[in-house]
Amino acid sequence: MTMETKSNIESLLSRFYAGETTPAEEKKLMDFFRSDDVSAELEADRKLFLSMAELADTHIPDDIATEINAFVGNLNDSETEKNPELASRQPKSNVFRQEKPPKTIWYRIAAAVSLIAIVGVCIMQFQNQESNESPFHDTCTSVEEATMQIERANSIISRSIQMCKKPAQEAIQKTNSRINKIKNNNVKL
Amino acid sequence: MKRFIITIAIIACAFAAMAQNKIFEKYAKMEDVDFVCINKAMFNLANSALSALDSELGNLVGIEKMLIINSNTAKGKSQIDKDIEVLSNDKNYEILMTARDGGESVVFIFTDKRNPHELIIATQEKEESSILVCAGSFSSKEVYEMLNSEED
Repeated sequence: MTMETKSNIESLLSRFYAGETTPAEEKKLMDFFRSDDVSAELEADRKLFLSMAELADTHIPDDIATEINAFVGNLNDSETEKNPELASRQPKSNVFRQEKPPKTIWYRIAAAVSLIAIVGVCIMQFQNQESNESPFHDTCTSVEEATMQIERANSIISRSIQMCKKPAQEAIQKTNSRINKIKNNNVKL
Repeated sequence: MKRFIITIAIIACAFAAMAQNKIFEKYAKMEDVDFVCINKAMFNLANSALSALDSELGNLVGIEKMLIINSNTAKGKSQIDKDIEVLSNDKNYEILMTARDGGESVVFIFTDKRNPHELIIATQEKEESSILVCAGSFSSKEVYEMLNSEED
């Protein structure tokens, strides 16, 4: 190993431990420590890099979860065969059951909004009830004036009823007169 | 999310109901509108005069409040006409009787879905519109009796 390479590796190592190296530089370090050209001073670093390389090389099968589930299932089955009481105690869920995404934030927001709304509506209803006795002030300052206004209201109602009944009465009269005409014609014939 | 939507719907209904109660409140301050309000106490005081009359209103026992809203100005009339339209289309109110004669129209509207119950008589003429509101504990039966009282 040349002096230049050594200083270069030491510089990279110091940067690696400082967490400043790029993936390319880390690969360079890894390749270096995998080679046989490593001095005794860097033996500790070499061991570290080799152990990291072993971890990186570990392959996790894609169906590991299924395999573990099957394995645990088999274990459970054999245990339940031996002791049937265990079956009722065991959860029927998958070991690697996928939990639903947490919705607690939305539930909390919905609950808070509902609570505020309910309280608001209650307060408004309460205020409304309080003012329900008299939402308007009396505009009549005397009984005479009130009586006069009631008479006015009565005349409005009376006129309105007459207005509604007038067309109906006219229609009834017209119908009656037509019926009479038809009856008279029939008698003449 | 479902709960949220249901809550919003309930609130909207409550606000809609409350907004309806305030439909007449604006007239108390409008300059273009004649606004008369007789509350329960004054109504009781004037009750003797009322009973002396052979009045239609005499059929309505338990009137607690009466409003007379009337206007012959363009601004006031258009506002009253607008509210008559709103009340006529309100599902909480039942149209009992309606008539049109030339440029005049009248509509009797009743609700027992509110407390107190309300009988509204709305009249629209060419140059004048008015709303009469009778609120109280009277029933629809009493209202029908009042409407038929003229025949007797």
